[in-house]
Amino acid sequence: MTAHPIRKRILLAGVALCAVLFGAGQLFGGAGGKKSPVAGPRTQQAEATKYAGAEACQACHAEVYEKFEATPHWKTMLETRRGPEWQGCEACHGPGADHIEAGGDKTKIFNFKGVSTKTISERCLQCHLYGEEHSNFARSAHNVNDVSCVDCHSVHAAKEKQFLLVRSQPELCYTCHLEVKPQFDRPFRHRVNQGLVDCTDCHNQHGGFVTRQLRSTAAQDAVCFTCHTDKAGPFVFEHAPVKTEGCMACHVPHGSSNPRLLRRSQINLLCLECHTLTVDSDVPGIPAFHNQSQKYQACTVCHVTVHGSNVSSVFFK
Amino acid sequence: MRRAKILTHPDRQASASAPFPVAGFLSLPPRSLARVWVCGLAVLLLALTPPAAAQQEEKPLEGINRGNYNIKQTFEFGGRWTDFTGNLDVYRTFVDLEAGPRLLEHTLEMRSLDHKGLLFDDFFLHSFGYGGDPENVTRLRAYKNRWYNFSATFHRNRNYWDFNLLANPLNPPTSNPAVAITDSPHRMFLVRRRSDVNLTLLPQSVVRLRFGYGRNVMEGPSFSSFHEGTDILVFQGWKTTLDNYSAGIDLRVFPRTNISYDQFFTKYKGDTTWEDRSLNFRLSDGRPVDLGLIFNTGAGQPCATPLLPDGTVNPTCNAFLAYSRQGRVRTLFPTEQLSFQSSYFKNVDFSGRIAYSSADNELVGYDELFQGRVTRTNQSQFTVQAPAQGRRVSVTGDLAATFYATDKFKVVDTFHWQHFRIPGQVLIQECSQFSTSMLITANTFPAINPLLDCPRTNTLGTPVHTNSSPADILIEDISHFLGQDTRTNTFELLYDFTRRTGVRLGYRYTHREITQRLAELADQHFFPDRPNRGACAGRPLEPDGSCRVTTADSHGELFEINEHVLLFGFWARPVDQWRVAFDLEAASADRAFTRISPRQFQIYRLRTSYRVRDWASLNGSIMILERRNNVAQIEHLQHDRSYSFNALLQPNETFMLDFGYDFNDVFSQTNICFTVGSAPPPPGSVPCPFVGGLPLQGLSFYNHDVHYGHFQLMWKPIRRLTTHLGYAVTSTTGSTLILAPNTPPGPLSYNYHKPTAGLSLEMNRNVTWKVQWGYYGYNEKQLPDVFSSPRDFRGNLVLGAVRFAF
Repeated sequence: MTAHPIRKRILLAGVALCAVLFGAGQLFGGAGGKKSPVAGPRTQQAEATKYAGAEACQACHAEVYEKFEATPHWKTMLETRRGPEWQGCEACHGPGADHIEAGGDKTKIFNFKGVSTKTISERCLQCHLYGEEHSNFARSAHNVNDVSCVDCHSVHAAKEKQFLLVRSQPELCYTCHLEVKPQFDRPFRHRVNQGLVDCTDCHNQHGGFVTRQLRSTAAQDAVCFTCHTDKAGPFVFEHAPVKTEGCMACHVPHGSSNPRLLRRSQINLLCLECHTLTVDSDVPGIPAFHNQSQKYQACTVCHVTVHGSNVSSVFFK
Repeated sequence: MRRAKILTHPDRQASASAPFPVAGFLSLPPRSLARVWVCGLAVLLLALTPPAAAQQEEKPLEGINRGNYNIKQTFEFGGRWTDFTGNLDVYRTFVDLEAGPRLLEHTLEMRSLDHKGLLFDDFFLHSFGYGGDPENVTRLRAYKNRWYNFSATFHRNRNYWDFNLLANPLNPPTSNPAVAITDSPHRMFLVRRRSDVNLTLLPQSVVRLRFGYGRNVMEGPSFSSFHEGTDILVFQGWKTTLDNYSAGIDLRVFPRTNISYDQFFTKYKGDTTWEDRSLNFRLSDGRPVDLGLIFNTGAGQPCATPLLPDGTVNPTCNAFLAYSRQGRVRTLFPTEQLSFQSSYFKNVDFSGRIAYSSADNELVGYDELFQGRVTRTNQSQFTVQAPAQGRRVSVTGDLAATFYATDKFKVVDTFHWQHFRIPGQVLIQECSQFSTSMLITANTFPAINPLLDCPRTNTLGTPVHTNSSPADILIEDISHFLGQDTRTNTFELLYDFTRRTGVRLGYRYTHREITQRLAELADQHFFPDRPNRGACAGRPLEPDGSCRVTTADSHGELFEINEHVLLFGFWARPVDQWRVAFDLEAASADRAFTRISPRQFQIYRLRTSYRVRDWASLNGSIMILERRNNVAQIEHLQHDRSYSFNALLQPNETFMLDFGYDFNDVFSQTNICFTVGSAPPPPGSVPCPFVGGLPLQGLSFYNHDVHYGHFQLMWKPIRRLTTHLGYAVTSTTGSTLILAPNTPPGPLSYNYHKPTAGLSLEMNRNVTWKVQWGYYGYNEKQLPDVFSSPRDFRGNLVLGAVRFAF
């Protein structure tokens, strides 16, 4: 496979981007001045003496520390390249020396209760902002609707251990997305309640570039093709709306009363609603002999490969 | 209702029986098998259960320390017994839980005590559903601090699908013979195995390496259909495989900036084959023949008299003597992606990505054979070779910036660009033979075509064509192109009045250009008789009496759409316990690509949650979607409205009640044109004003109201005993335009009940007994129809299990 000009351009763009960022950083960078968008302990570094260390926290919060030790956040204890503000309990709660000296005064340390959701999320994003999974959280539907990280995650009391969730999927998502729960209980549905598919298999809960925070395949196509690989094509004869309007032109994504999660119970109506000659539409209408009182009401008996075909322009095969 | 044996399938129709394996172990009658399971389970439980410890305060399981690891493990295994009545196929399509032993769940957790494990510091394995359930899943993750993060998942999904109304031709009972299609012609019995493996090296360093592999295999027997004269049921041996390889690197060498590069390589293989295996009738010479799915002799389908008085097939009828089709599809998708995220600059966040993907698709070895009869054209055989190639070139670019003007006010702009183009080309080479009867061998015309050497019969002579017969030899080169360029920019202003309330206002503009082109070049060779038919009408003949013509056609279109969307949102938290969020999208476009794509839409979402007490919370949501393409000749209106409520009460660890209700109202209408022949036109039909020859116009409407209620109750009357009670019911009503007389309304109106109950008894810290009962009751609110089997079913499932934890 020979390198394509566009691939080369992407690589060059990456190198150029690095150079621009580095140069701009030299020119404009540095702390201080206007408030950083991501306020937190790092940008207002306390003196090193203000940090007591996680072992000091353990003396009073033994049970909490024991649970913390069993979570991936314990890895912050190994963060020795940077200062104590990146390690252990104080990586999230801020410097704790004053809190200890004051005999456990809660006002002397950062408490996640009683602060705004934006403040909470900014604190978590200090570490978790980077990488495609979280890089769009600030613009995500969750964040702009006042949903913070701790609405779904719990560092100290997680019920689901892999991602430190307060509840497992999909029950966690159903807490707010009430209208989705009954859809997954319909006869024809994606098997989310059975544990085969998670909400996060299709949606990026932390935000993304695609509408409804949908994910994409590796080839930047609709996420549906991750599992439904035979529908991805490319085909010689594409059924254009599949690629231009998306799978939701004909299907509902979560669950339906209709077979194949279609939007209509009668397939012929779904087809006829597009395949009727109209001005301002080049979609072909059905021929005159397609008597809907006969076999032709079952369009897909003949037009089988409606998602695309390599050999038949009318999707017979 | 027939009482079906869920363990074996001896009563399935032989001609259309699904060739899926029957579990020999499960061939015992259900009740005897149930006794075996219950007795065996009881003995096993008694043997394995240590004496219950005296009542004492129970602590959470601490696991076992072995070497440098703390190990916790749980096993839950048991058996399921089922009692079933009704439509087995629909039960298996919706539920598909069978009797038998199960490894219900297994977890293994290993944690290094000093965080310095040899191969891993943390290991977690979770599996469920093995032993016969339709969904089997395993998830594994392991990590070693600083060095790697590893995760793997495996899903196995058994997809039994047979809902008899899908693709059902609804053969009328007045036909002779009358053949009701009781299974879906597109049923399938597939198994999908999907696995993903991901490895990140040096996850906490400034340079991280990522590797991944994914595999998706779907295979199994299934059925499809094919039209040529009549329409036959085709056995479809499904086999598709997708392998995805990925490698990536993350660079965090610049402060508060991450740059990533990912390389993906995806390979798809399609090896599905098709074959007619439903040759259930015979010609007078004894050869098996398939008359197809369609039996409507009043309409001449497959013909007016498909069977002769002696029971053999009318040799002049539409029918198949043989049909097969295969071709290997090979597609390669290399994709490169560069992405970045940076908050380096004061008060500004950036994120972006650009990805390039070029897929190459090839259809190799396409071979198609038909033998039989097509009455309209007199075709008795055709063979097709069709090598094809396609490409999909896609470029995706995204750039988003957030400017934090003040602590309360920020500006967000997101630009999205996606461009794809899909050129494809196929070279169809088709040879046809013609005869007036399946009992008469086709004549082979002695002409030579320099481009294609076609199969010949041993009978030289003049084929017998009709005026509708296609070319005897066809070589057609078709090129098709589909492309779309989409550019979207979203601009939003977000302001937080206080830490308890905020608002946002935005605007999104989308411009789409859709291009389609088609070019055809066909070389058609028409043999006598009637050589001047079709494209050869009026053309001079070759010296041998045949006619050759080359035709060309091309056309294309460019379709542009501009869409404007107003965005508005509001959130509030008047008190800590109460939050409300509302958002609105209101859109308007100048065109719609399809008749049911909206020119205008509005989405309203309102969500609220109120924590009455620490142990009680109330949640509600309203979701309204309105869509219109309400222009003349289309009049498309659509809405989807959901109103939901949920309450969760959990005053302590011994009691929990969760209940809720949802009402969903879906409506759609669109003007359509159609014909119903001599059948009574649907009420409200009027003459169709459009050019096209279709006499009737009507409003295709769809109404569907769904009521959903559920509750879950958990109660621990004593510390060791936990009881569960639950119920979920979906009740729907609906109506739609019915074009074919007596068409069943199908799944529009039904009740679907799913009560559950269960007990869990902790014998000691390590052993828990469980018994669960579940019921699945589906009934359609309609009288049985004459076209298909009733789809109702009722299933009782009892699960007995023991859970070991240590």
